[in-house]
Amino acid sequence: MILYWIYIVITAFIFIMLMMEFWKEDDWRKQIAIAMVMVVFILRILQIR
Amino acid sequence: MTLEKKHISAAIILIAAAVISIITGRQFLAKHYPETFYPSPGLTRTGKLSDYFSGLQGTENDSRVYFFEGEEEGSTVLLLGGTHPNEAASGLVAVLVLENVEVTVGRLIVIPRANRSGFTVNDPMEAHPQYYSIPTPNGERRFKYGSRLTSPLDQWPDPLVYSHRPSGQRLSGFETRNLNRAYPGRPDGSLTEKTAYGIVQLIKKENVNVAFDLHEAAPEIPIINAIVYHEKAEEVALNAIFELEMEGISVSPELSPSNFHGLSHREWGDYTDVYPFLMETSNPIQGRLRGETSAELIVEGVSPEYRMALESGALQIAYKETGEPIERRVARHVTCFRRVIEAYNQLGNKPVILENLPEYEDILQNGVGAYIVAGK
Amino acid sequence: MRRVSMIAVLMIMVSLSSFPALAQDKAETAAECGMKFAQPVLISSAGQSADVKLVGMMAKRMKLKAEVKVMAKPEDLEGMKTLIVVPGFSAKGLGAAGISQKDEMERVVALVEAANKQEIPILMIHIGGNARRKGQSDAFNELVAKNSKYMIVVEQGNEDGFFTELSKETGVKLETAEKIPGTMKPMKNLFE
Repeated sequence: MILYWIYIVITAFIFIMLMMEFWKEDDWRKQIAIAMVMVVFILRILQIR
Repeated sequence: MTLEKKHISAAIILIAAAVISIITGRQFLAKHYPETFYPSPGLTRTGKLSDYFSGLQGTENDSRVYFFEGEEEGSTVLLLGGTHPNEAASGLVAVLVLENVEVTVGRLIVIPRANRSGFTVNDPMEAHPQYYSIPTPNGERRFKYGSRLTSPLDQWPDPLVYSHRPSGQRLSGFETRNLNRAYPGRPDGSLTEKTAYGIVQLIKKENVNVAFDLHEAAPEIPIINAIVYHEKAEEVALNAIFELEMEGISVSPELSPSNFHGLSHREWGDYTDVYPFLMETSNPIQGRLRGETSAELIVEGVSPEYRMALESGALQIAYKETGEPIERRVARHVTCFRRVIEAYNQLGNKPVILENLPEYEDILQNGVGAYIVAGK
Repeated sequence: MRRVSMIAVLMIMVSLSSFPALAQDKAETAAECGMKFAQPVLISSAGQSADVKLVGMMAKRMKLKAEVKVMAKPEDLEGMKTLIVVPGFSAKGLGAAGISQKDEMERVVALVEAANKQEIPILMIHIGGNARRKGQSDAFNELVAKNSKYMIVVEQGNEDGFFTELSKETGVKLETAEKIPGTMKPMKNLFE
């Protein structure tokens, strides 16, 4: 169970990093690519999927 | 200026991502809500698996248990659907029985969603639909189509190698989430093992005499259109299969291997007094050769790719030219279930009499929808 | 006119006799060929499918003096007058017996050889239909068919004419039944 929560924390951490990269990114195409990955991460952090 | 521009695009993309997350999130979340069933008037009470093992309380797998008790005393039968939620006919037969059966002698216990967690997700990389619909005279009824395994959201991580307890049998790591590799289960194990343990406790506490675990398999799997039985239930199985053959329903008898552990037909028989039976039908959507993967394939069971395989004669597959429609798969399971109980009764055991269940030809002609409530 | 109709009748008869399935039904049933098997009977499997148990159940219903030994060995033939072999491969059956496919093939070869040596006739009964054909089953089917004196086969297992071909090749009589319960009649005729 503890492993599961470590996994969720790691996922949340990666999500925050992605968010920071997203905000710094100049190219809107790369922003879309990052946003697509973020959708997957947010669904996992909220434990929906 | 550049900074402003990139922030505008970021805000727009972020809103789009949020909208996509909400839409998809709502769809995925909907799979966590339990399905509604409409038990027949023969229902006497309901319970939960946690009544038999409190460790399941508050978990996704605290499945509902339905009791149909006859006025006259007799034997007790357990019907388990949805062990593998991607085997549609299994869960559907349990619903059909649940919504029609009247028990006059003995008792019938139905668990229509044995591994409820598996119904909340789909198998990755399979393109499986989330739902399938059965047409009824009063509109379509939608059922969840799930994964073979417990959801990783409920049980994670998988070990590299799954070591079955207590046998020590080693299987691939993902099998740790397979309910039909987890029996007899453990009270302090994974969610899947706890679920298996709860079911075995139910069999023991309710003194179940005959138990059924319904399944489906890909047409190329050798054990199909079969009844797998524990050696102690051999006479019942053979008599039932003989009667089924007389009716023109071919069923292969398969004796449960004593050295293959974790399966219901082995461990229920070894760890309890029950006579266990596992039944299989052919479901093309589970096969490797299927082409377009859709909800229609689950219901109609028509796959041009399997037809090609059949015509080539190169493969030994359980696939008919007309496909493997859900009507035939459900009709098979219902009829096999009934004939096994009848054989059990005829062999001098305390009887169980089930009424108001459709015959094989009735289901083929009228469709499954004629025997289930339309729902909302 | 009479001549024409006689020719037509003759032609129909000739064409019917050349139609293998019909010809076979006509000439090769147990009752008509007069073949008989004696009791007691040893019933065994070739491939460990549980079909052997169904044949055993039918033998019991027919009150044949029969013993079912799924893993029969040559010494089990002692005192037996007929060996019924039910071919068909089952991975679950092999698992139940705790043996490999190779072990099973070796056992069946030894049993069949012993029966031939002791002049105990072999009756093959194939009831498993499609499920016990092709794949790993046909090696067992062929071995037993070639060593038997008579074959009873449920039609679904002979849809591609596999057993018909073997019958032609070896001269072993073949009788088919539509469904499993239909095999009881020819079995009864053979043991009457």
